[in-house]
Amino acid sequence: MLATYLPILVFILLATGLAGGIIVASLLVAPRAPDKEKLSPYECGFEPFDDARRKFDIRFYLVAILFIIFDLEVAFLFPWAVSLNTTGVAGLLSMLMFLGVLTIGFVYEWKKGALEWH
Amino acid sequence: MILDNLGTKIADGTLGMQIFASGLMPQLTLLIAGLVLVLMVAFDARGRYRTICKLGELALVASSVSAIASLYARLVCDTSPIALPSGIGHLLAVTPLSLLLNATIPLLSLCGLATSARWLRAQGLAKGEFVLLVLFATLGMQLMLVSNHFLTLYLGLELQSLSFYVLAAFQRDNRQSAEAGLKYFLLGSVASGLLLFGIALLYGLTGGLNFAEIAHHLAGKTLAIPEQAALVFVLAGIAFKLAAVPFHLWTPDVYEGAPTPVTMIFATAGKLAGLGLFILVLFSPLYPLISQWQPLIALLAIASLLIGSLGALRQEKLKRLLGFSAIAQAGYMLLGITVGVSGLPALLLFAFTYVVASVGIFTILLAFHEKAAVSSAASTPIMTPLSTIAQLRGLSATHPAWAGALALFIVSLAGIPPLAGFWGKLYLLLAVFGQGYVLLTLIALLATVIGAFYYLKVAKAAYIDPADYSQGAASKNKKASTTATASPLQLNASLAAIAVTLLTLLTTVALIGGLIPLTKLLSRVVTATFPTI
Repeated sequence: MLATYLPILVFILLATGLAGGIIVASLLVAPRAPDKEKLSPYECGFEPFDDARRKFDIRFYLVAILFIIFDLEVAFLFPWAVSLNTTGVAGLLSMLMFLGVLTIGFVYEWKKGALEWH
Repeated sequence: MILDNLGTKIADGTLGMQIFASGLMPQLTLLIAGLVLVLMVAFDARGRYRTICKLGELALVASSVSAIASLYARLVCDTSPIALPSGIGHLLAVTPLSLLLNATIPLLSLCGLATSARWLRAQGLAKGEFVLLVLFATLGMQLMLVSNHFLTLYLGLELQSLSFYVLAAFQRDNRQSAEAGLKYFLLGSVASGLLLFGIALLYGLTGGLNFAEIAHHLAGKTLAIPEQAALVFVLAGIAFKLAAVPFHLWTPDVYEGAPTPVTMIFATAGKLAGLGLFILVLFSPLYPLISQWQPLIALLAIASLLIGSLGALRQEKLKRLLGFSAIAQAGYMLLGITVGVSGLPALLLFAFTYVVASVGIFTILLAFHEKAAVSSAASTPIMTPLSTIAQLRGLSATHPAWAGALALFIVSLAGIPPLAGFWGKLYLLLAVFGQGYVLLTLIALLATVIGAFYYLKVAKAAYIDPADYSQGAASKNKKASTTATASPLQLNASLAAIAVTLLTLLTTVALIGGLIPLTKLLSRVVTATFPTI
């Protein structure tokens, strides 16, 4: 019973090892020349500690909205992929249709320049 | 099953037959046309609004025609409907009533789209997105009406609502339009939230979202507070869409602020879809709760009738007046629902007379809208649309044909014999009275009397009130610009002529006693839709 969880243990060890290795490597190898800007916390180009009620660029809103659509699409793909053996051809076709509609929307936003910052 | 042996079916053409027989052609037409048009708009750098608009109109006509063909096949040829594959049949159900409404709604959207073209161009708003939004709103309404499951219903409703919010704010440089869009969006989202909460409660109570499942579970239950709460939340959500009191507050503001062609779509297609939504929800999943919802609906009906009629009395602005009139009309529609399934044929007849007259009135409003728009475009960019009743003064002298048509529609809406609107109201009230609801009938009669006053005020302005000085100046402008507006006027004139013809036809049919077979046909539609009730 417990042996079935072995892959998860291996996965955890691998992930910790890899992440730890990269952090240690960058500590050892990377050049370091700290200044005030580099040491301050970074948050999307805003001052991290400031009045929250200030104007910011409306284009952030557009990017966020467009991001949410595709984020949700990916969230849909996981349960779909897991249950594909029971849903079969109908499931495949439904997802293709869904992705097709989304792609058309994506083409629209791309051609309309919604993805360009300027 | 539709998906079995897909290859051979495509080859010998039976797939097409099966799709047609499934009755989902109207929705598929709009979906495919909508997606193709999205791509066209995306790749269209030069702004060919005319082509896109024509294609959109074509799709709406095709959708309506296929719905009519399916309805004809069901009712006249008595072909039994093909069973949808179980996965789809769980979510969608094509009933004769949904086909009837789905045949009408695209035509109403078409009227809005057709009359808007010149006005949009004058405003610099002739963008392909307008067509797309109208198409997707129509698709949403159609999807909502063929749903057999609360998720599809909600999906269709939201597709319609979201498109409507954007359409209301389409004239985004205009403060009123932006305000209307925002107001509609905020209140509409709250209403959708309430509906969703009601649906969630129903799911918790019954363990299903399919209409038949919910009805089955509710039928065996003793009704307690959770069921009533679910009912109230669902009712609140859908009452908002029909603009019934006390969920009506958005109506006058949105009707006034939204661009007039958009208001026309709200008042006709949106109204009919809201009515279809009410009928679908109350007579399918919630029918076991009829003893619970009947008094509630009666209350909503009374409140809508009184507040709609009284609110319209003091209005000076035409679109606001029509907004309050839409609330009162929602009251009449709810009366028909209160009666139960026997009231539905009369209710449908009433709704169709209302829709024809509304299309006519908005067409006329838009005709003058455009005239004023083009005449003022030369001197100032600011539009002077036809917005108040006072601006109608002297219309009978300058444009007798338009004034005559306007009077016809107004008198029909007011329900004055012998016009079709009277017969619609008469049948509706007879159905209500026949079931023993004397008080309801009396209140409806009272509302009709009040309604006659404010409707006739519009006709009086056009016929009796003398034209004042400013209107005289405006009519000079109009004369100067007649050639510039020849084409939209022709279009509006022909649309108005169609509406007049339809109204006269209905009136004639009513006068020679032909409404009884028509009502019988409608009751066949209703009984075929709800066979178990």
